[in-house]
Amino acid sequence: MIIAVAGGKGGTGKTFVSTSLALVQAPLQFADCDVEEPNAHLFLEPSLKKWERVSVTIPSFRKWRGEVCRPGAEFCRFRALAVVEDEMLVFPELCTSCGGCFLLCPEETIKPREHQVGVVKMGMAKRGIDFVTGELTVGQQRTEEVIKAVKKRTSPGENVVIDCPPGSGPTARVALEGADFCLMVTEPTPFGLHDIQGNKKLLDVLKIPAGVVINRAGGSYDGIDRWCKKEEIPLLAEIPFDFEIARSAARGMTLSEVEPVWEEKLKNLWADIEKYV
Amino acid sequence: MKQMVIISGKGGTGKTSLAACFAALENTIDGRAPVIVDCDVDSPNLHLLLGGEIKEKEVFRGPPLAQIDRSKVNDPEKCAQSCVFGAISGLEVDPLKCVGCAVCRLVCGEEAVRMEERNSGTIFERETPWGRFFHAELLPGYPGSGGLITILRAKGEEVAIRRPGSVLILDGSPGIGCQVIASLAGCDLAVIVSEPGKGALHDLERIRQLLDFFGITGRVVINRSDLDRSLTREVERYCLDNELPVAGKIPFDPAFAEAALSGKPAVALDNRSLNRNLEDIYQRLRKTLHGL
Repeated sequence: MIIAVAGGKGGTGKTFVSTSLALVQAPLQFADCDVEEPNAHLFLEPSLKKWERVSVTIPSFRKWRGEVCRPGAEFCRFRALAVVEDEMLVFPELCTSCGGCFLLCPEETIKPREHQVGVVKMGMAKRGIDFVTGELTVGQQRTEEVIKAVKKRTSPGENVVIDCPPGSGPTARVALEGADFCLMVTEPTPFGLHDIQGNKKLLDVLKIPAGVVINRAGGSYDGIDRWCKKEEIPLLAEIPFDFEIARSAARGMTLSEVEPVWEEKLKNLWADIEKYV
Repeated sequence: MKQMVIISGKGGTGKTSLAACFAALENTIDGRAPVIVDCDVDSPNLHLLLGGEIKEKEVFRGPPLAQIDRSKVNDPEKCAQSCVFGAISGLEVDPLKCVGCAVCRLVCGEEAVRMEERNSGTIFERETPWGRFFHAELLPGYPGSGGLITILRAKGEEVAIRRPGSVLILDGSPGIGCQVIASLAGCDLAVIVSEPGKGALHDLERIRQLLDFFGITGRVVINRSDLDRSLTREVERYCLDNELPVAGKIPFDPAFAEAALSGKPAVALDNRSLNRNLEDIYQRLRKTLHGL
């Protein structure tokens, strides 16, 4: 079963919940798909011995008898190519690797080049968790490619927990695709509600069943509860607003490591999710 | 016109809450309203704090969407495999995956493929008590955030530039990817909202590297600073070691949650010690901004 942990809003505790859940259900696979700012390794302490480069194919141009490829530059809607004073300029960070210029430019002028956009790291973590994470190279923009590379390293047919990036855009979509269930982690605030609603719309398009975990629960705001009831989305757990939990999480402790009663509760959460899948 | 962007690396540190406060403070300090842009087009929340009236709404078109006329396709199999983004399935185009590159048009034939304008989201212009405000919502999963952010910023700049000395405040998104880059490029000052925590520290390093990459001046504000004083000291030490000045620290304050529920910036609540601290922090940032 593949469980993705998302929710839309940043900082609600996706990494905290995903690593906490993975720890009690170990052994299984854990994939940190928040490749722009990965943090799961701080909770699960993997020994990341295996690294693999994530590269994309971009064009490079040779000057061939002073030729440039204007059709290629004009075709590129991402402005990754420009002809400046009879020289072809390539802007690697803007290229999406669509391949258009390769179809339009004479073979003698254009050559594929591998351009590194990130790295995937793998290793064994706490309780035998098979851990894989990705890191986008700072300054690059191919987040989705790095997420795809991370997901490629997960084995089909195994239990996998995926820590998704924030938001409900293309990067979240790529991380969510193929999941059997999405656990949406939110906070009881108007921001939490607004973002979880956007996240649910994305999940509906992807046809992934969802459940909600309210983190930092407590207080008078009941917007999330009411929305879950109205949309018939199961509210699967509530983690209370607690300074001890917050401080421990800030130091990289998972929930059951701070409060052992959660070992059982999280196992039950997993069992509940299985019923929906 | 000076541009200040509020980013964080790590999500949930308080960018939006502080962006709203800075906008409100710019109003009172300068007596002139700032122009405000919510660049977090994926999960926009600033409108929940700034309120105001929607003055204008327009459809965001985004990248064009390929439409395939199967009756005119030369080689259906070759056509179906022409998209490296996997947007074509059985000659149907998935709007979430189509980035509008038009390679399919090259492969399937110009007769067979039309690149059509599509509705990718909505752009809003509001008049708020704190200033003119531009924000947008992208349809969930849709590509085009970079382009949308560029349009929003251009709209904001167009208004801000009319008055000399205007401040343009941009609320950024978490991460270091294309949305953040589109929000950062060309800004005078980046305010990084951080917090005490191993994750926050890890993310701070990466966002700092991004600022270096683009040559943008940064300042740090440590939010929820009293959550763990020793971790806050680690953040301060990191900032010192990396020549990244800390503009201030904000202890945890329920006023921020209260403000979110009331739909206004936290400085609009009557909380003297918080407000004094935020004013001091904003004065420092403002001084830096105008010195750049």
